[in-house]
Amino acid sequence: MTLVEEDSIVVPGELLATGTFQTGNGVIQDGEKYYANMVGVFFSKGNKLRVRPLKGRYYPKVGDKVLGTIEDVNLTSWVVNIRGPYRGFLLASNAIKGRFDPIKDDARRIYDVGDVIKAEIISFDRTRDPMLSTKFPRLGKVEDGRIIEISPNHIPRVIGRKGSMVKMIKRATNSKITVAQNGRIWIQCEKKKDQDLAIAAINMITREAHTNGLTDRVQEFLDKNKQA
Amino acid sequence: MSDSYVRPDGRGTKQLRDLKVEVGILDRAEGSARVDLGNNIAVASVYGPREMHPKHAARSDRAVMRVNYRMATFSVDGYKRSYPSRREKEISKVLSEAYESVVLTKNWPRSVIDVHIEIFQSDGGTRTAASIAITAALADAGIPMRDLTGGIASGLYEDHVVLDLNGQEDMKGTGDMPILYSPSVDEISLFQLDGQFTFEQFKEAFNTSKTGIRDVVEVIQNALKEKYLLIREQYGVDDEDDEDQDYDDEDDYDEDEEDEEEEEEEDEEEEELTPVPSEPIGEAHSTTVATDEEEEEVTPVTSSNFVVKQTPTTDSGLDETPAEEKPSEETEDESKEIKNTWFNKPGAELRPMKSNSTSEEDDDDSENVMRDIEYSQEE
Repeated sequence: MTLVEEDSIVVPGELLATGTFQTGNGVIQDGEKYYANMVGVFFSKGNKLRVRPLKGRYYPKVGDKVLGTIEDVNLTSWVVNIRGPYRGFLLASNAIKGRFDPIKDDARRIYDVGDVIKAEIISFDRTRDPMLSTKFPRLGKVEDGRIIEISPNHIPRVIGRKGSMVKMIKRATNSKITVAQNGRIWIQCEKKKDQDLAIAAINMITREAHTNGLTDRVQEFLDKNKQA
Repeated sequence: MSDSYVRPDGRGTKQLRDLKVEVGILDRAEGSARVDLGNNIAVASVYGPREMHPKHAARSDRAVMRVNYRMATFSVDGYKRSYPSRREKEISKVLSEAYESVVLTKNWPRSVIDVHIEIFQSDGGTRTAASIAITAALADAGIPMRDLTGGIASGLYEDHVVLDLNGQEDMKGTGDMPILYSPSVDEISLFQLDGQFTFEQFKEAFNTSKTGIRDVVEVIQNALKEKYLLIREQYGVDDEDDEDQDYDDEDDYDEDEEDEEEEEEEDEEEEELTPVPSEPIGEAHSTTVATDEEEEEVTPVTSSNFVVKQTPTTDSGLDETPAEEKPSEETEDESKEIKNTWFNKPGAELRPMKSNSTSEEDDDDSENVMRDIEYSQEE
């Protein structure tokens, strides 16, 4: 029996349900009692209880595409800041398609400190730091444009169902947008005004991430500000 | 013990001072809270989980809680040195240890959760005010905790057991017993006692504190919820007019997110593909993408197919890939060799491995985390 309404805000230690359920993210079980363990929006799907967090840091997952900044260059590897508690490692063999010869090649000519790269996490577990790769198509150095940071928990909301939200923003502002799972968003616009509008829309999404009917309101917001 | 006893500041024996909790007051911190407990003002800020420095202090199986309790030099009557005193260090230590049992530290191995508390005004019971602020700030930062922990002191003043001693009572009283208690898991995480209690007095003080903490936790709960409910009230629309979510559940997002600008860039890329044999593959590739998008749910099988098919395309598009910053001569020299070899090399196997894992491991992952949590709960 669930004791909390669907879509309500719950806090740690709040009793969500009693009986037999499956636990998902943000729920802990104590015998037949189920408690929330973080601030978030409660929802249940079938027999599974979950709390969708409203804040929190990025936790790496294999297969995530991330936007990272190069923090350090070694002879054959890079240290990449991907936000969150662990630093990403990019080995030269995972960075470029050809062979990397540390005697002939200079790692700094590929990525230098301060560069922003789009990378994929190819391995990560609790015991080791995440390994990155830029070898796959459409990964690599990011040039031009602007990057904003939001909470990784709001990323799904920014993307929307089947990318509806981000498509809408792109259409309205005539921009290129890449949404990375670690909460960084890359935006490229020709006009600064459009860029500001896209950023304002994303900020609006993060602020109102836990409300209903957000897509319509963002659409409204974009229409209104585009005319002005 | 008579309940009619009135304390110097006019409170009853079992009455808390005014408590006000406000969360999210600092922009740069992950989570923050300000607590006004009577004349005490405590501000807590939470940073992390983040990388541990110094590295040797990290623990391989869990995050470290690092609480830093400080009192401002102007927070007390008279003079206070600016560097941390023995007392401040001690309170920092006991609070970090207390919160290690509440926070699910096993979710973030090798990292640290930093909490800074600044006391701006003090009037007895700053460590309990600090603990309330920490709890609120940790929850505000979205850090998973087993429960909201409240802290309050009970003590002896003129032979009465009184709740939430203020500065004057603390000085003149004969006993002081601050505790940190988590109501829904029913656990004590900090217990300190100073002075002499009879067993009866102790029992009464203990129960008084527990009741007091339930009220404290309620205040924290309301503060945490209020922040989000206000926004809902202001901007949200009634549930009725869109009953279906306008976004997917966590499992499904990943696929979509980058498909987006993949379309654009892909077009460019495909135009540049000239080799004859790769053309049908290229087409098949693009159709796969299209179906992926149209389908309601991207099945794991499709996505792995997608990856496998994609590999040869990548291969032939090798020269044009923008990711390549290397001087081109070498690549061109080796391109023929690489053409058929690079994705057969051991490193390239990572790709299919990954694609197999995407959908199935998703669930496994979350279960792993859950197992950890249960484990830590048992401890």
